[in-house]
Amino acid sequence: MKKILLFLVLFFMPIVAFAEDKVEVILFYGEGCPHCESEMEFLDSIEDDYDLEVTKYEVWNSAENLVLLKEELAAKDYSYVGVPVTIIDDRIFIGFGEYIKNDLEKAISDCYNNICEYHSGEASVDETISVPILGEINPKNVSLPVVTAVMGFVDGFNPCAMWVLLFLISMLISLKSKVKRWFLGILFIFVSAATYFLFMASWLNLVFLVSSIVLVRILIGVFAGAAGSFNIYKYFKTRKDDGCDVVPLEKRRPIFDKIKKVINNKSFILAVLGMIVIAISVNVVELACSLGLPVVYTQILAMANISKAGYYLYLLLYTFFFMLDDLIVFSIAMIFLKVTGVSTKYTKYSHLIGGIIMIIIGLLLVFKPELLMFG
Amino acid sequence: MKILKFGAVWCPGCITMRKVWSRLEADYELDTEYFDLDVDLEAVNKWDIGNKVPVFIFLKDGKEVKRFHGEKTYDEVLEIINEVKSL
Repeated sequence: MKKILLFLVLFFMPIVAFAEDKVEVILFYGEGCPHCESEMEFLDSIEDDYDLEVTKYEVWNSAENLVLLKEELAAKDYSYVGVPVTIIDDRIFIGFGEYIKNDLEKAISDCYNNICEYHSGEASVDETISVPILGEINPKNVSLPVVTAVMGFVDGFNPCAMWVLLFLISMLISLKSKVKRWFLGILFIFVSAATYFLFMASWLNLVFLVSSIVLVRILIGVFAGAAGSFNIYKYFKTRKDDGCDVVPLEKRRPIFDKIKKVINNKSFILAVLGMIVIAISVNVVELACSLGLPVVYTQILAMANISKAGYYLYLLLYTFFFMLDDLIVFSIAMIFLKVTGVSTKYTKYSHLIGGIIMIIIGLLLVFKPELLMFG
Repeated sequence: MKILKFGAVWCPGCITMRKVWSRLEADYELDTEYFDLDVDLEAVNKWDIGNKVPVFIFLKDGKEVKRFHGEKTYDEVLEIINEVKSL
């Protein structure tokens, strides 16, 4: 039935448009998809100006509607990659963002003025960029999971909270109880990861709220450029001057005292609660130290065309890679009862790689945001 | 010649250098002494460690003749030891 209705709408669209000056828009969307919501808001805002008639099909909860969408796309030699998908007259628009908004309004405006004479196809976008050494690449071919893994992993080398973990490990090793050793260590890492995840999730939701404001995207782009430049400056400044920065005694002493107290607590429950408090407080304090990459990554994520659950799964993936080095260092220490550390040389390289990544992303956010819209 | 080694359990670079010194101490007869930044505060203050660790101070007749900080390879440290010995 829906197929027939869609066929009729499509078939009669030009005629109706001509006869009544009404512009028919078909929108395939996913429930909870932020880009779809942005497009709906946009269509609502221009509804009266162009006498729009929007027919909506939800595809994530309706297999029937999804089949319908795939058929529509296949008819025009496209395959399904995500929503929103908008059909105006004979033209298909895949995705929604600043770059497609203008084309969409132009198409609607033309139809409103009875000149719906388009070539079939989505708005064309130049998708290749030139990168030194690598040559011409299409960033959309680099999938979001890869970007997530790389950025999370590089971010993980930031030593901000590592010194606390290493001190904790050195204390845990002396514990007789193997269970307590593993449990308290894993708890610290898990709560640290949860704190980081919650911070990124909150930031992501904040970005969603203001994502329609172009200025915000540009500001984050500028921030990425500045943070990236600072990272590269830091790399060159400390290139021949390695070692660990000494955390001031007045800062490390209270934390170490608390860790000793928690570990030596005879009550297991109090030790667990104490460890949770330490992990949260340390990671909240050290958040500012590694702000650059997570802020830039959440902006990329906010622009991706995926489901709401997908956003959080990607955040989980990022957090996993962020904590991976901690997990490895901890596991080795617990298995061999010997503390190992990631050489500060790798930390320096992470500054360089992180800096380059942030500068490239910053430039793309400002000048070619469409290249960062995955999915 | 005596070598004072300053480090901390929370510093990855100190952990890396611990392995280098273990090998050197096994291969050569070296008079070394380790000081922890969180435990041996008196020595830390006396030798003015600064804001980077690990720090290694080379003494001859009780007087400092050389120091370096950060990570170095086995060969690089050996070269420094030989250089100090020849002073």
